Amino acid sequence: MNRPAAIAETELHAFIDGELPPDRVAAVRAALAAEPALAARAAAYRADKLALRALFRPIADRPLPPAWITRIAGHRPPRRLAATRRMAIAAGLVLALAGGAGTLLLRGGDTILAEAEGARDGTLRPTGSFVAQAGSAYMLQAALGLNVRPPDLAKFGYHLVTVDFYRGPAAGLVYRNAQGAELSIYVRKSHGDARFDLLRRGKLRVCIWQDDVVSAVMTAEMPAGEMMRVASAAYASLDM
Amino acid sequence: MARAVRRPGIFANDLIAHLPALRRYATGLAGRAAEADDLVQDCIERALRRQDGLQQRDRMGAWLRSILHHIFIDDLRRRRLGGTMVDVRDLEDDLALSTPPADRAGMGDFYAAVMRLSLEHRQILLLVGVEGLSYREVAAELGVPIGTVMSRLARARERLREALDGPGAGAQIVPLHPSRGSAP
Repeated sequence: MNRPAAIAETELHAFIDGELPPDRVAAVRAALAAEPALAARAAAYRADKLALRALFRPIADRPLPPAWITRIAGHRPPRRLAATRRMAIAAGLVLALAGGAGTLLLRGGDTILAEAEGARDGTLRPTGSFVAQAGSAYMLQAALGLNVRPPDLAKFGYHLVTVDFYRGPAAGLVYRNAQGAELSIYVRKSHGDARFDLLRRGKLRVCIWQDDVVSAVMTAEMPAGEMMRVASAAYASLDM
Repeated sequence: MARAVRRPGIFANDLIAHLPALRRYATGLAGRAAEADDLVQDCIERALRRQDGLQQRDRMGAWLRSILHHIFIDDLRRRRLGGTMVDVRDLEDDLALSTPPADRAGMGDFYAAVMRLSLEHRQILLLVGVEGLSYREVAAELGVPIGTVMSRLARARERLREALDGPGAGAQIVPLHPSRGSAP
């Protein structure tokens, strides 16, 4: 008697679903030919699969409830609150620069600006100073207790060179470009209300932004247009 | 690449395009059209809120089914139902059966048998048989090895047959290994 090779139950189903490796097809066919009961069972499985398809396929042809479409079409993607505020402030920055406001009046008790200037001219002494490396983002978060990272300003030609930490706690991020020009960002937890200011200090432009989470001051010697682009990018990419 | 997914226009269009199949899948899971539509609606809300969770645009079908499946399981738990209750008399209204009226009694029995299966078995039969996924796609979607997909599918089809043939039908199953079995 010509006895077919044994086949696994899973092979029978793979055969039905067209998933059987080609080198096993002959074995399954032989088993089906030799065993009428096995063949009947395979036929029943196949019929069940077709019946299932016939049962449910038409549901996909029904028209969709219009409410679903309007709901999806009218949905605005969610945005984190801080990011929204940050974008609004960045928009304010663009407006101020585009409108040629140039310099805004200094507000009273401007501690964040005083701190940032002190950090930049060296009168504020860092408690630690680190060469920028892969772990800088982690250090920054740990030191400040803020979910922030050093903005990536490579597309503007600026690369992070050092990260200084100050009492407060606060951090000074120092960037440099190929020509040696320096750009610094002083950042700490916010102590005040949302604000945006743009100042000119001699050759330097100073941009202050603050929301209810972060206060930051960016200082660089660059034209207004470039300052606008870099500050917007830095602000938008500050949070993790 | 991932950023493109977040562009609302594209996401919304993709989502709407997936709804007919998602509704079909939901009906297979829940058994009732009204319940399936509730599931899809909840799924839409969750998908809109969590669209950042979709990493690859071409995985949206699997992503939506997985969200829907979770919602369904949560619903079942909340209602403390062991399974889905189906009134077979509602089926003809619930399902747009493409079968002629003469066959509907048979289809009704078939449908009732499908709904008596465990959720896990029903799910795999739907994914392979209705949604047309390959074993590999099912394995990725369910997060199980392909061997598990194959054995689960085999068991699901066997259970469905038992449900259709009635008790004792299992005795008709021929041995897997004819050489060791008693050939008729």
